[in-house]
Amino acid sequence: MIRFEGVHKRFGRNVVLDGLDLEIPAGRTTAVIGFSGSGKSVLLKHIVGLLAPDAGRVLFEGEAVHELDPGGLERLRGRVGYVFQFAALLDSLTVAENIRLGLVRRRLDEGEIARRVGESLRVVDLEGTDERYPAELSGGMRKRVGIARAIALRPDYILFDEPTTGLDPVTTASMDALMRRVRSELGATSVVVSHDMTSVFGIADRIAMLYEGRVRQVGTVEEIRGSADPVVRAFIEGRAEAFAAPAESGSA
Amino acid sequence: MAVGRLLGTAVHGAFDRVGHATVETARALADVRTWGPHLFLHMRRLGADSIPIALFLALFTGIVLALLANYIFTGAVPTYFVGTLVAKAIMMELGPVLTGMALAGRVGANVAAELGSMRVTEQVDALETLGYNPRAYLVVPRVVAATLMFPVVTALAMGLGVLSGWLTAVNTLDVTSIEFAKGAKLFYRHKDVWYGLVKAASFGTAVTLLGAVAGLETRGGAQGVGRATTRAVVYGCMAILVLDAFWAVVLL
Repeated sequence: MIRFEGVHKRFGRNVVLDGLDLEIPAGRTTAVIGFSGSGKSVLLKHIVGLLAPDAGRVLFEGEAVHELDPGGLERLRGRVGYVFQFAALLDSLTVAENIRLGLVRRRLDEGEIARRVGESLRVVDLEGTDERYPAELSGGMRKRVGIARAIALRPDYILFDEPTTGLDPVTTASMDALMRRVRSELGATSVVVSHDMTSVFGIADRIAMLYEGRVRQVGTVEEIRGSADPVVRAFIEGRAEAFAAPAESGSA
Repeated sequence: MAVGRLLGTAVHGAFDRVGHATVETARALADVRTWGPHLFLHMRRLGADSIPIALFLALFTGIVLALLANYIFTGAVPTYFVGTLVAKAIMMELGPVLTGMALAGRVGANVAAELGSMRVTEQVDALETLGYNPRAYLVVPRVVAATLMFPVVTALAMGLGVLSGWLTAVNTLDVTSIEFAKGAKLFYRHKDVWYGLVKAASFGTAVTLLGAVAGLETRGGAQGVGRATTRAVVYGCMAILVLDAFWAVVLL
């Protein structure tokens, strides 16, 4: 289980998280929704210690992430697969080399590494792309390689940062199906950050909405669909007029 | 006063960041398993591939020095001093410094742009989530490669510079090969060579380390990468001049 307790984070004068409290239960898919710049990606980066909170703490199975020593942090990261918004594949490496990276670090033997690379590419339907470079792939293919790189580690937790952003509707649907398949095959706890409501309603067990640095509402898909909160309703219905000045900093 | 304070703060901040990066990079040296496999690749990319530009510079430096020496020494000083000036100046000063400056542009910019692009596309974050220390994976192999290869490139530049100076002297000036050689050997000490090579090694360390710091600190998109690249080249050139003065004080 992952728990955010009163997490504050600001970049310069831009307050991104303002006392965020959130619990991410094990074995489920939790979607975090909110405006661009509302702090969704910042929230994910706190889980793996890429960012440290200014105040408050993030507990990963009871341990405060930002208090871990380098060894503890490496062990934590070994249990988490992180799928970045734009895949973040190392563009000097081939697809297979990108997937190998984390496996080599874990000192698996060559046979096991080759088996896992092949298996991960099969799960994301990208067999035969081993020797291609990221620049030779489409955006959707790159995202799938990003997922392959994450699942090759057999993580207990998998974090998806805007997995469907920038994809066409058909590729989005196949990405949703892939996330469901990954979840069922790995049995991992998933956290999906997105503002694509169709996708979120299709894959999530629980949904938390971030608004003004805090969780505005958290609940099941049905609870969020039937929410009486005017902010949540306006967001999921895409009614811009309901918001005077939605957060829009872009980087968070 | 306010400008002075601001400047002082900026300089202090820059030293603080470079000092921190140096310590972190030195610590990452212990992680040979991560950086070792990339060393030869960077020795080729940062060192061997820089040889043509270094030789181009050295060729013309030797020619100009020979002509300049002849112009200065006409009438008052024996012409064999052309050899003295060419050999001394190229081995002790112009070889290492001009090669360092050229490589500050080529290598420093390359390192800053590559690492800056990796930073803004989250490839550095991806490495961290896969369990790697980005300094061990990205910075150390480049710094070690440049430290080893700058002296090699500089040695070749020294050789060609003296050669082109000699050819210029014997073909266009009233100096024979014997006279040129006599002049070159007149005040020669082995220290002339190793002094130049020690300087070159320190330039390699500084140029790549500053490039890496600028790259890893990159924020924003293409503009940020452009700013990082410019900073790397400017600071690299400044560091070469400061180190040049430092070694002159310490070793001469």
